[in-house]
Parts: sequence; structure tokens; C-alpha cells
Amino acid sequence: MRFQEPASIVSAARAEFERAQSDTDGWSDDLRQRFDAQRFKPLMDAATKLALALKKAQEQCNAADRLMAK
Amino acid sequence: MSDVVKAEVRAVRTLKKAVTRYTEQLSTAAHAARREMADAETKAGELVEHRRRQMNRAVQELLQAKDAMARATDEKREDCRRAMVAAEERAGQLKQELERARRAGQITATASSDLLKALQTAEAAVSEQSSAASSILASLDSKLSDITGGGIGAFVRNTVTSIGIAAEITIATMDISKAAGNFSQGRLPTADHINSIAELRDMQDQEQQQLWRDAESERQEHDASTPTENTI
Repeated sequence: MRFQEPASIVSAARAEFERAQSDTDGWSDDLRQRFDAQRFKPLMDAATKLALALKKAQEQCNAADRLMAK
Repeated sequence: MSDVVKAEVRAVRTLKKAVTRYTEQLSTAAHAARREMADAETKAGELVEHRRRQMNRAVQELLQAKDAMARATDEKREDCRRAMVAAEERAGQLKQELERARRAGQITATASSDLLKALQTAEAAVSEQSSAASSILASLDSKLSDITGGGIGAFVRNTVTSIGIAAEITIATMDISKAAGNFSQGRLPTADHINSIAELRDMQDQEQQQLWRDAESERQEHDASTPTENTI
């Protein structure tokens, strides 16, 4: 499947970053509040947009492949 | 309190590493996507060229068949007619295949243009946000390390700074949210932080006053126990 490698990397990056953000053992309540998920939303949004762009490119390339295979 | 600051140091360092790694991973993904897109474009382009060459050959064969038909004797005419019809069919079929390859090439080119735009936008956003986040986190990490590195005495002296850093975290992270249009969700430095700073300053003043009183008391005790010239 096309774009599987970059899509997997983006997915793994998102998951890893989310884990890093949520791994708040030993944090003070104050710190937990200050570094909540909203703080890094723009970074996560960039990955979401990248994943969507890859999906769209995959669909377009699949359509092109189907035409070429006829 | 010291444990709290140490936890802050660990947390900030963890987040700093996570931001750096996240940026590297997205960069790797973008690189892989560009490579794959380029491969798809190359493949589509090569197919169009292949179909064009086939089409050109078929057209040449058709022209030759037509020429042979024109020069054919009566007994060969039927054979030449069949060959010409077959060449026409072949040329027509290859023309359709060339058109499909061209359409596929156009779809691939559109996909490439769309993807490259999206990659540029995503990379710019990640670069901007991650460098801001890394810079903030690195600065906080450095300040927090300075505080814990100085031991408990230094920690007490720097407690006001620590609260200042906490306020800085609020402002800095608020900037990240603001950049994403999430300003309303960012936490402003609130009155409770200001109260905390004021309270800590009071604590520090009281501590200094107590130290001065202790020192004064010690001096008086020392004076009282030391024989004076008059007593001698």
C-alpha cells in the first residue's frame, strides 16, 4: 500500500508524543495543569493534517494505479 | 518542595526530548512521503512515454498497412484490408491506453502538488511550534537545573524564581496555544500566582528577619559571656 511507511511514522510519532505528555507520574498538580494536552495542540494538529494529506495522496495514487493497470 | 522541583526538571526534560523526537519523526515521515510521491510520478511518467512509443509504432504500422492496401493487387487486397483493420484497431486501443496513462499522470501530478503543499504547511507549523516549545522547555530546564543544582539553601533563596518560572511556563505555553488560535484555552498568569509570589516574599522576609534575630541573640549571648574590661 502506498504511503504506508510515512503514515506509520506519523502515527507512531503521535502516539509516542501523547505518551510523553500523559506520562505525568510524580508531577505536581500545577505542572500537570500547565503541560496539559492543549499546550502542544498545534504540534499534534500538524501530525493530524499530515496524516490526512497522506491518506488523500494514497487515494489519488491508488486511482492513478487503477487507471494505469487497465 | 525540593522533590516537586526535581519532578519539574524531569518532566521538562522529558517533554523537551519528546518534542525533539516528534519533530525528527515527522521530518522522516515527510521525507519518506516525498520519496514515495516522486517514485509514483516517475512511474506514471515512464508509463506515458512507453504508451506514446507504442502508439507511434502502431500509427506507423497503420500507415504501412494503408500504403500496402493502396498498392495491393486484387488477390492480395483482402489480406491487406484485414491487416489494415487490425492495425487500426491496435492503434485505437493504444490511443485509449495512452489517454489513460496521461490521466493517471495528471492525477499523480495533482496528488504530488497537493501533498507537497500539505507537507510544507505541516513542516512549517511543526518547525515553528517545536522550536518555540524546545526553546521554552530548554530555558525552563536550565533554570530548574540551576535551582536544584544549588542545593536546598539555594532552592530556598530561589523559591521566588521557581514561582516566576511557573508563571513563565504559563505565559510561554499560552503563546503556543495563541499561535494555534487557541488563545481562549491558554492559561493566563492568574492572581493566585501573584499571591503565591507575594506570600513567598513574605516568607523570605520573615526568614531573613528570623535569621537576623537569631544572629542578634547569639551576639548578645556572646557579649554577656565575655568578660569586659570593667569586670576585670
